[in-house]
Amino acid sequence: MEPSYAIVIGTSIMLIMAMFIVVFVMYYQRKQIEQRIRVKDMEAEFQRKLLEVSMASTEAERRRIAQDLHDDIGALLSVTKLTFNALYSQLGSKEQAERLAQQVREALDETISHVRRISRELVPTTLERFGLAAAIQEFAARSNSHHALKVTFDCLGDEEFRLAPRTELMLYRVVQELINNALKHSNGRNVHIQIELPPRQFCIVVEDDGLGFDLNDVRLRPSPGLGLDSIEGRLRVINGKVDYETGLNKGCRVVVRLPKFTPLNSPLSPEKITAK
Amino acid sequence: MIHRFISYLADFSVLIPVVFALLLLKTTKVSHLDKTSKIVLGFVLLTLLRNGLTSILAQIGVFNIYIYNWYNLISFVLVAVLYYLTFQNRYFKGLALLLLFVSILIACLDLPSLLDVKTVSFNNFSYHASGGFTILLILIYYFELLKYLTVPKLGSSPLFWFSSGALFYYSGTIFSYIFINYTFNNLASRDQYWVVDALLSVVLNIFLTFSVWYMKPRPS
Repeated sequence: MEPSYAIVIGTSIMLIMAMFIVVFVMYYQRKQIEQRIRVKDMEAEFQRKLLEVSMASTEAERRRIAQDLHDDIGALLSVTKLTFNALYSQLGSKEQAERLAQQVREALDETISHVRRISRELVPTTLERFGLAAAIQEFAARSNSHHALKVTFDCLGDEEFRLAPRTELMLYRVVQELINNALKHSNGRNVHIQIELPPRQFCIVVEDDGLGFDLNDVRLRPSPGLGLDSIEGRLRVINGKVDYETGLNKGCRVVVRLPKFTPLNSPLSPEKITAK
Repeated sequence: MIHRFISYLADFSVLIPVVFALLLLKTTKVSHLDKTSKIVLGFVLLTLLRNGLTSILAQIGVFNIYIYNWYNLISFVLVAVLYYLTFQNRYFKGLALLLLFVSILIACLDLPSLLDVKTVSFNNFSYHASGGFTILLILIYYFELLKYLTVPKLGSSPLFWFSSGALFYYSGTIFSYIFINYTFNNLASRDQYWVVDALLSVVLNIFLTFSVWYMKPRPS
């Protein structure tokens, strides 16, 4: 019997081609998935950069406003007060004039102190000079004096530890937002802030004994709500993480962590790299 | 008997993509299709013409080999233009054009097989060259698919179906032919070769059917 070589070869080649095409399609799909993941990563990185730029411009704007308040309005108010004092000294001792003058002086003092406060809040100079722990402590103390809630502060670890200014500023704004949330919405009696600085770990805890909230409900709200987007956005920029432990009538405990951080004096710090 | 049946099956199987093409043209104007789809439809039409003409001529006892020779040349021109339009890399585009001219030159080496209507010989150079060139162009097409990943779903790409069908057909026929030609070159083996060729034609026509099925008008 004549061997059917042609059929054997034809069939073999067809099978090989079929296998080739199947393998090709599988490999193609794998590459497509890999590409999709790459594109997603690039998009996330782009979003992070965008957020970083937007926050940097916000901070620059705050700095400009603070400077304007301090240098222009603050100076003008001080000059006005001095001028008023000079005018007052020439008014004599009429009782009515004295009472009005006292009122005007008090109003001016109050305005000057408000301008100072707004200016300090816009740009936290304590943060730049003494670091995160000191700035948060100062903010907590100020919040204590302005609200009915009792705000307590506790710091563990190396208090001298400094991070890159950009990272410190982001963390400060996050803590500011968290404390403000507790003061405005928690209806509690106590707010406790604990900051744990290296060498063990970097962690900030803000907890209150208030009403708490339903996290999913807050996330689904169309309006910004508790500013969670802003908090998470800021932390994304500095590769930080946030965990919320809360529920209705259970108070709220927010833990902010920085898994990877570079000390300011490290050769890997962003400021050092830029300087090079 | 079985050989004759398979031969008819191969000839008539081209009607499947033709029917699908007619259904497509019922809802879509040719001008709304992209260039590659138009070329694939041209390839289907050319195959229908070849099968129709050769069957009629065979029935009335007139030589028809030169039609196969012309078909082989024109079909490769279509394939080369198709991949020229598809390739993104300009060197590959240049290669497609070069292969087109080379294949025309090779076909002209055996000019009587094209011009003599009573010829009884197949243009051997042309068949193998154009088959080999087609395989090369298809492999380059696959390479570009992997490199640029421009096709979101391979299963819905008309050109992918066309290329896969053509790869089956040309690799199956060429390698079988070369093997038989240099090992068991006798009448029985040659008969078997034509069976393989006919079966692979059926496979090609099935793939062409899928190619036509997935054709869509260009987004306006």
